[in-house]
Amino acid sequence: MSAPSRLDNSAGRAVPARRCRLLLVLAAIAILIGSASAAAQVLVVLSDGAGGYDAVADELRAGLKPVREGRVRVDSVDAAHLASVSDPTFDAYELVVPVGLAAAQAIMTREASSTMPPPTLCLLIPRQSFERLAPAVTNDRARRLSALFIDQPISRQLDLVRIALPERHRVGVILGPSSRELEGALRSQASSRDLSLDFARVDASSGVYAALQSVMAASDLLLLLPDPVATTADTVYGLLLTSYRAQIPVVGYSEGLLNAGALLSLYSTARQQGRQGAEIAASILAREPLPAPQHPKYFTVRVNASVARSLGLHLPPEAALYSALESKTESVETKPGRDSKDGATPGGPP
Amino acid sequence: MVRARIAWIACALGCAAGSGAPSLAQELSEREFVAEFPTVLSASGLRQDARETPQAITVIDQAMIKASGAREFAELFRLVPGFTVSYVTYVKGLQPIVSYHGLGREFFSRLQVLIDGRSINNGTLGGVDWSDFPFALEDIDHIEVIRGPSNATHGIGAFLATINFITKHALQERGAEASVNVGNDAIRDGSARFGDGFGQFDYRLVAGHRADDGFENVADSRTRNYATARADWQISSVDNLLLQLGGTDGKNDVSFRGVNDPERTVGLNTAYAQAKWNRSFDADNGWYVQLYYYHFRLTDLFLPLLSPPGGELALIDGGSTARRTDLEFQQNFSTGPNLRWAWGASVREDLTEVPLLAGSISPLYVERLFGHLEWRATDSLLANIGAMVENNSLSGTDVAPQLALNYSFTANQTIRFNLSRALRTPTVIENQGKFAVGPPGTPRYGPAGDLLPETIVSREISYVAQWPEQHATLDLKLFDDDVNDLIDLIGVRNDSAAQAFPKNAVNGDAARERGIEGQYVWRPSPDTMLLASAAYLHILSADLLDNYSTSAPRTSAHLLVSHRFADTWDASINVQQQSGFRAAGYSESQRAFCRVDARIARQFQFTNAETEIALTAQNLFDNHYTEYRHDNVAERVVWLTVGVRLQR
Repeated sequence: MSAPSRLDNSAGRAVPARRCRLLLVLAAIAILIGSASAAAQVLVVLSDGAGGYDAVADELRAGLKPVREGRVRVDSVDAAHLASVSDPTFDAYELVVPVGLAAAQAIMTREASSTMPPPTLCLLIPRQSFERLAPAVTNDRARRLSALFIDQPISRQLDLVRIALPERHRVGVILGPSSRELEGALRSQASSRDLSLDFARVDASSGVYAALQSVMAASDLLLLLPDPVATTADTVYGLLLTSYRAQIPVVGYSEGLLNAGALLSLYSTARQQGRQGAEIAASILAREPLPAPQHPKYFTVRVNASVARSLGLHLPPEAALYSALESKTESVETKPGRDSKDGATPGGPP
Repeated sequence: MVRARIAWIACALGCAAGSGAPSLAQELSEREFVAEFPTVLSASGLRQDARETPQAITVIDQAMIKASGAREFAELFRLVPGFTVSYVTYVKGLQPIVSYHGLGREFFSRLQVLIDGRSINNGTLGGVDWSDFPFALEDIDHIEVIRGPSNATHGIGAFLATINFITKHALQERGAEASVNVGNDAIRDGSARFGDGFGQFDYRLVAGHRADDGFENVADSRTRNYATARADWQISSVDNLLLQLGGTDGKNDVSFRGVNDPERTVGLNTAYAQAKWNRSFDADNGWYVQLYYYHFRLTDLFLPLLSPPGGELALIDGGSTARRTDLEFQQNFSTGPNLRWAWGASVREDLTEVPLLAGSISPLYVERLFGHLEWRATDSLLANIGAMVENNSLSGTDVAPQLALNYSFTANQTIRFNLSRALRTPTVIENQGKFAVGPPGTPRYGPAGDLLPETIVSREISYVAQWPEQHATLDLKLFDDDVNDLIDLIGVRNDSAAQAFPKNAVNGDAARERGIEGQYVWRPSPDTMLLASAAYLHILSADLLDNYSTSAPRTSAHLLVSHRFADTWDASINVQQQSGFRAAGYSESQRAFCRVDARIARQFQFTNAETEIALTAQNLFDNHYTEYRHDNVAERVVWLTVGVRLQR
């Protein structure tokens, strides 16, 4: 198999191989006498038992191991079984980490009935979905609610287009009911990058082909955005095949799209989400203020080499694309608050 | 207790859903980011970039098809350097002849022609029934023309060149569309198509009619009705099933060639069925199995104008039937980022019936095993190594190897060296046919041939340059090919050269073909396209049995320019020039000619429909050059096209 090597910068953290026996004994005693003041308890709520969610939870556990001298207990429960956690137990958690939208929704519902819910960090959640959930909570609650989005900042997606395909300036975008909300941000980010955008809007999956025809006429690149109507298992085949046959490369947002035939994909793996989630969780457990909701800082860029060759495109290597994007991320992070709408908010651990 | 909890959860979810959020299925969630999708671009479906192909290649896409002003399939190959398009009007009626580097005869070219991977070369003489495609030009996605032998990658019969038609996937252009052509020369064409789908199943239906009067003063009118159904079913994320079924039904007028070959009308019918199961894991790894069946029937029952000496006037059956069944397997895989492999095997059965020939014809069985390796030795050096082993029931086992090296000395300039050997298996008629030549009742025919396959050793040096900023590509091919054991059907001839050979068919001649050809494609803007090509070909042959050395034009040139104005107008002009030649098996020369075609079209956009009205003129200046025979005189042909597409 020649799957291109993954550019995953989530280097494995060295787990302390040995521990002082005395410390172990002390820890055991501390747990035995129920010294709740020092032992942190984190509740991970998983949307379902699928592999991707487990990978996030595993990474979170590994990342929290060194925190508080190894005395962080991470419990996990499926969203469907959240009701089995009693109110006092729930409220006693120092941090709740819902993974996925369904888990986040379940937690928000649960917390509505709680007087002093614990701080909540949503992982693996699209920004729009989070923003739709968040207005429902009060200001006070908002200070105790944060998220690490699953989607990449639009600035990074457009930077990738610029860096990978500098000859191409006309970007076609098919907007569905959900991705339509990104139109404004796309427009403002595109103009500074010398990219022109051609939008087509659809309300139902059946309109995607007509929309594709209309954007293809004026575009030399197709940018796919996650949308449960415009980009689905039913429409992706047609989108990728038709654009490929018109020699128009496609930039995607997931590994699935890359394997299906997108030229490029920019995404964060479950492990990268878990790793950054663990860093944020550690800062919260260190009693630091909850950071603002943020886009991922760990991400993966991959090129479908076979498709690139077939389209006759010479792209920079994945590593070069990654470092170019990473340097842009850093430069944005040194100017906090430039465009919080676009998620260029500084994030990560101190 | 459990029930109470469930009720609580249901309520909680209900509340969440009720709080203004859309239902979960329509709401964006992490599922969109982790979803697996079917592999759309599979190894066998990916086109190779012109700089990386082992042979010279020309791609004709839908935009070129439209701009060219072509009305029938064969005309498209005027765009391709080294190709000649001409017409015959007897035996089967008006039939286009498409050849590359000459050597061909009326019904017989040394090309492989594939539609979606199935060979449609006629099982009788190996030619192609260009008027009998069961779909319209609009249904083509693109055409790949491989200019050179490619047995290892394109299979049996990929001898001088290979033409691969790729029709539109059922997903492309959903909705209803109809188009009508009306013009002089009694042009009356109509086609309609409808595409739709549900879930992962997509289908496309095409039906149509083509008719024209052919050449003036020649009895060569033709009509065709055709229909095709196609389904693409994505069974799982890796499994895809393609099903196609289609057929044509038509009539051709055949012109008078003698008292035993009078003017008449013949019937032509074709039918095919194809199933292809494609399993693709990613762009480099996967396999497919394909089974297809192709049936061709020529109905030609007629009375000669004179009765044989001392005999009664009896019906002659000039018809023929050919049936082909072909099963093919191919696997693609990669071992590391620099090695991509393909291998496969196929078996084919060709059954042929030609009542006019004495004796029955045994079926032809062909088995083929092929392998191909693409090795990226360094960033600038790509090696393609392949071979086909073919075993057939007529001429035994033979090998066709190929080696190509593509060296990119800059990012946009490549030199290709290609050395290959290819075979053309004799057709059943060449090997077994006993032709009844002369008046009925006194046939003269020799014993069946004991033929070897024709072989070609091709040496090619090509230069491919691209200017990505200008969207321009130049492709130059310098070639020196040795073609040996050319099969000549002397049994059908009555001349002195033929009398010297007792057999029906012999491996008689050899030819050396040298020359240069090139094409330049430039798309300075999305609205403008320029396509230029030129070829120089020198054929050296002793011409023992046929005039091979003059069987193709020495020079030919072609220019196509198209431009879109004001977003709704399209205009294109297509100029073609070629020097004279004398086709093999024929005593008359086709003189040099130059012709100009032009097309102008306007689109109208309505709320739910798109309409296009186009006027096309072929041979705009009414140049009366001849096609193949002296009485096939070209004239100006003008027609109006109205097309409507309903959007869904």
